[in-house]
Amino acid sequence: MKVSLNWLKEYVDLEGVEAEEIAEALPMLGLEVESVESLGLKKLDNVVVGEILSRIPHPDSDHLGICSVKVSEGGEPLQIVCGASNYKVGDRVPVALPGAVLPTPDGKGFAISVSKLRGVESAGMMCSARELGLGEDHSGLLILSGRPKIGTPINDVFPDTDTVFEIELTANRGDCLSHIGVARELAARFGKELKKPALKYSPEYSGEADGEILKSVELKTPDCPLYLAVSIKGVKIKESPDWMKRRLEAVGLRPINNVVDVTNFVLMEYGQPLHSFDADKIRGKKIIVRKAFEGEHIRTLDDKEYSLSPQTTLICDAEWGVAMAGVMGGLNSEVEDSTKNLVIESAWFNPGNTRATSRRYGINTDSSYRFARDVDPQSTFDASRRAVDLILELAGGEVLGKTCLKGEAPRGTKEIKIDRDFIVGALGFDVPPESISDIFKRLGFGVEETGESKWTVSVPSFRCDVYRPIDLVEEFVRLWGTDKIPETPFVSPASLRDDDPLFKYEKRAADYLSSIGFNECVNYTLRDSSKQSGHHARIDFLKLANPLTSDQDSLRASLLDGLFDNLLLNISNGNEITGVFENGKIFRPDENGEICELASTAFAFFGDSDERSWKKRESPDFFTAKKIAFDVLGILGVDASRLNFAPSGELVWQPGYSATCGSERREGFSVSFGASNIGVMRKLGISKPIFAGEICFKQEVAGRKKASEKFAPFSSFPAASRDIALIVPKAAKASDVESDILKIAKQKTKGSGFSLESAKLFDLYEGKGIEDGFKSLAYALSFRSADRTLLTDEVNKVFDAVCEELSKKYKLRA
Amino acid sequence: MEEKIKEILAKANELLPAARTKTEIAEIGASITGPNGELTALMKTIPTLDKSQRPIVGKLINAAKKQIEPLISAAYARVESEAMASALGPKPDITLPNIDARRGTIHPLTLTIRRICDIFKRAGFTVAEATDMETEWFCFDALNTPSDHPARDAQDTLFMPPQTRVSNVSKHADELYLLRSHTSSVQIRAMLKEGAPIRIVAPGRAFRRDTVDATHSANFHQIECLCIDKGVKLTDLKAALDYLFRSLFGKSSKSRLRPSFFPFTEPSFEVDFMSADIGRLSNRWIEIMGCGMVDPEVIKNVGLDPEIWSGYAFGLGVERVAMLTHSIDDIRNFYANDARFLRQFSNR
Repeated sequence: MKVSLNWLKEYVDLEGVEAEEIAEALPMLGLEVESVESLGLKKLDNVVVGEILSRIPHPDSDHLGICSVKVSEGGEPLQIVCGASNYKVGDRVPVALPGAVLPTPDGKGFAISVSKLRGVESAGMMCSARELGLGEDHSGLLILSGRPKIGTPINDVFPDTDTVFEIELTANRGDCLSHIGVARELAARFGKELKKPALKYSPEYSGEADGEILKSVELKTPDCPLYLAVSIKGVKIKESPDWMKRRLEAVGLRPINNVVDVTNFVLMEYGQPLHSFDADKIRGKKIIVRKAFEGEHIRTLDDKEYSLSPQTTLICDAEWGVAMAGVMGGLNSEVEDSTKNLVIESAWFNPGNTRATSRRYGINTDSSYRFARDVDPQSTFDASRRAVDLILELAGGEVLGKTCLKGEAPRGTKEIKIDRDFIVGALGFDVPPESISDIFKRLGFGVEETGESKWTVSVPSFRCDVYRPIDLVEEFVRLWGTDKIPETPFVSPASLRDDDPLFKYEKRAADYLSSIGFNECVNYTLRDSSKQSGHHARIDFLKLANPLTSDQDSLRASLLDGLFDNLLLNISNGNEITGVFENGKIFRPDENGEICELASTAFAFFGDSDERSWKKRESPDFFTAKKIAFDVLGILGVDASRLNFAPSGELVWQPGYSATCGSERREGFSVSFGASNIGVMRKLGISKPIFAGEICFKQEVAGRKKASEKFAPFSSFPAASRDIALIVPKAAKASDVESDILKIAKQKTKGSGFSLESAKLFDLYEGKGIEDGFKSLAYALSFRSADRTLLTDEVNKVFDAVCEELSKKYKLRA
Repeated sequence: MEEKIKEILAKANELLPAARTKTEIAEIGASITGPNGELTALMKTIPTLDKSQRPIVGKLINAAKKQIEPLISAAYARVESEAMASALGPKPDITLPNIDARRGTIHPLTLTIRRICDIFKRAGFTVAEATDMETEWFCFDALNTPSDHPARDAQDTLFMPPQTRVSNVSKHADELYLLRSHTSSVQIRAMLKEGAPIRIVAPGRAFRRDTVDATHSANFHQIECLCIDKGVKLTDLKAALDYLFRSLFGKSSKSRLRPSFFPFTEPSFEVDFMSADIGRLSNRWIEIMGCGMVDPEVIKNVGLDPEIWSGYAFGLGVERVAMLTHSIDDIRNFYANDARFLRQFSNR
């Protein structure tokens, strides 16, 4: 909202307060200043009207002239050297006297002093328009028309000087959407009096309309609880006077005609939107405020047609809508040059309903903006009177009958009881009691002392946001000055509460994954559903109701897609990169579409980097991914060695090169890892093998209480090791073979006083010497006793038994 | 006999230091002291000798053995050391570059979150987590935001369809699910779960229906700070803010509160800070975040008595802090994840 300083000065005496001071004061009152714009001539000291009495050429210059310039009645003329040539003797021009500071584009200003120009003294400077900051004209001196009096301060010759503040208001400060509202804040801040316009027209109110040009007003919706209509007969539509146009133009409004300008002027003055109807266009001479019928049409003042919904509040005549209530008038009842009779509407429309209408049709007007922020019901009355005063003054005519009043003000003055202890308790610093009552009074609140440091504060209807004691605390500190809040030590008791386990997990996981050379990435939560559907099931359940764009229309079901994007970007940009990872939230719907929000850690890395290197390392592969996945599970507190993995059937994985285990719903977590699907990668534009892994879990898994670890004593005797190689079908799973070995060893060591400590696979072989379709798995079996060194014979006995048993199922390799 | 022993010793002295492998050493050892070794053979001849000669020869043979055994162990030690040394490969040019993966990185947003959480941890605040998915009640109603507030409009907030069900995000009644528009909803979840007093920081994602540009992102990160206790005052909020800015932006930092409006705090403020230690942004007020004293309605909404409990809250934009600290001018850098960007921030 634009606010003109000159206009403000009509309601508050700001003599001696600079525009800069106001621009600094407003934000500290909670009124954010977006920009400050100077209109017309800036305030310039020591620049006056002078008359050129004579000119002689400069002895040392072709273009300079030496002028005698009279700058005050009775004073001696000054000698001024000047380079312009557009003037003649007798012209009156602006003269900057020594001490003047002229505006410069860099803001530093150009100070004028007595100086010498090519050896001739010059006691000031005659100015061009640009040198004064009045536009861009620099073709010569600014010749003043109308022969203003010599010595007149230049600002008096150009009185249009104004400063316009663009103010951004928070949602609660609808009261400041007007010049009176902002003036009230400044009056409170600078300790001045608020001077509201004197209202001449003192109407009587009646439920009846005038009967001649308006017969009746009817309210049929609670979204319009208060409606005033004044009938004015015999106006003459014409251009507004200059002062009115200047006011409106300063705040960015285009003058239209005297009546429309008055309604706009009063809107900017009181913050109360008004509407003027051409009374002769109101069919049936009736105004009915009702909800629109479904599909009812209206053509608004901007010549656009709208089909309305039944939530829309509509001002209607006997036949059709004449205005979208609080938003915009209808074209059919517009005031035109031929208009003779007027009905001036001043009403109060429900803020929520006005906002909804404005949003529904995408129409934002000065009017809807104000109604949506809760107009002061008192100003509904005052603005109506003010408009009548101004219309009668500018357009003539006479008021018919009484002001038609329907409904009642939706709110009035509120009383709040408050005492000093409450205020001091909330603020944490002491304030004198008189400053409390003083501040409330300055804000225009009524203050009644009800005891020692106790008050009843009456908050007028213009402040709908102040209704509780805590609201008064805010008002107090706003005016008291937040810069006076004293500095106190930051003390806080120690806490038994610990960081959330998820936060701690993510930190450890990120530290681990970055330590093995991966770069942590952060990707958007929202992804393109059509792309996600290619990799994940049931994406439709993850779609937003109101996405902004189709490429961000659904919640991500996995972190991997983002990581693939990251790898691709880095390949495209030619960056050498090993791998990437992310910690973040993902969303997974079950068969029934019920969504579960999960925490996830995912990583992806290149299988075979084609980076050239002076020394070649073995490329990372499936087992690199497996190792990383297991390590991350370990950080999460899951013992991965106990998990049973199966090949993954998910589309992101390459069949036969990936493994998966667990279910978020059953165990609370799932893990998948391996080679990413080659087809998917190629579609993305990635032509190198990529290995990846993702661990998804319910947040609470990170916080699962682990039993506190108890020390288990271990044997101090040496282990005895025996090797065994089994020939098994190529498709046999190593984990099955191992569990067979463990099971059989357990049987065979029963009662022996020792046990198989571990079976470690140390060789995998296929090829020469092994039948086609088979492979050899070689294990080192390690036996150990808790209480003695094992004898060769007893170990051999058990080992032979184990071999014999295994040979029933597998072929042993010699 | 003595000659013979000398010969054997000479042989051992000659062969063992020259042996190249453990097998060779074993063979040499066996050829001297093994069951069929030369020294053993001499030993076997002792019974055939003159009685008076026997102890002398025995002594000589034993002395020889004692001389040979250390030679054997020394040979083993030498060969093993040589094997270890050769396992080291040729002597490297120590200035050759590394060949393995270069150091990974932690994302600057994570680093910023860690930094701020650490700062508050020193002051007795601990991290709370909640879900990105929220409901209208937790995100708005409980935070005293009326149902017709503009922030609740579908133009600004991302909603899920009405039929959406979420197994692990509880609803208050049958309100809509949405993506939280601020982390302030953590205040509600935390106070409902843990009551008061409570001092938490809650880092996390927030979502706005914004067009992505240099300063706007469809999702961004905030750190919510909440302190609720008996007798918490406005001066405590100011003290917390000054502590935060001095920790983040240097000891010269100061803060300024500009009155503002949020439905869930009263009084509410926009916070500006100023520091002499932040390069080209030094010594001017920089708008950083919103804050305020928790509105009594909010305290009531989580079942606490606002006559007893009071507190403050603020929501710090993580991207904003990271952009200020690292002079990053486009928010999209955080989400593009170009390695040349990611590598610029040290793991602190």
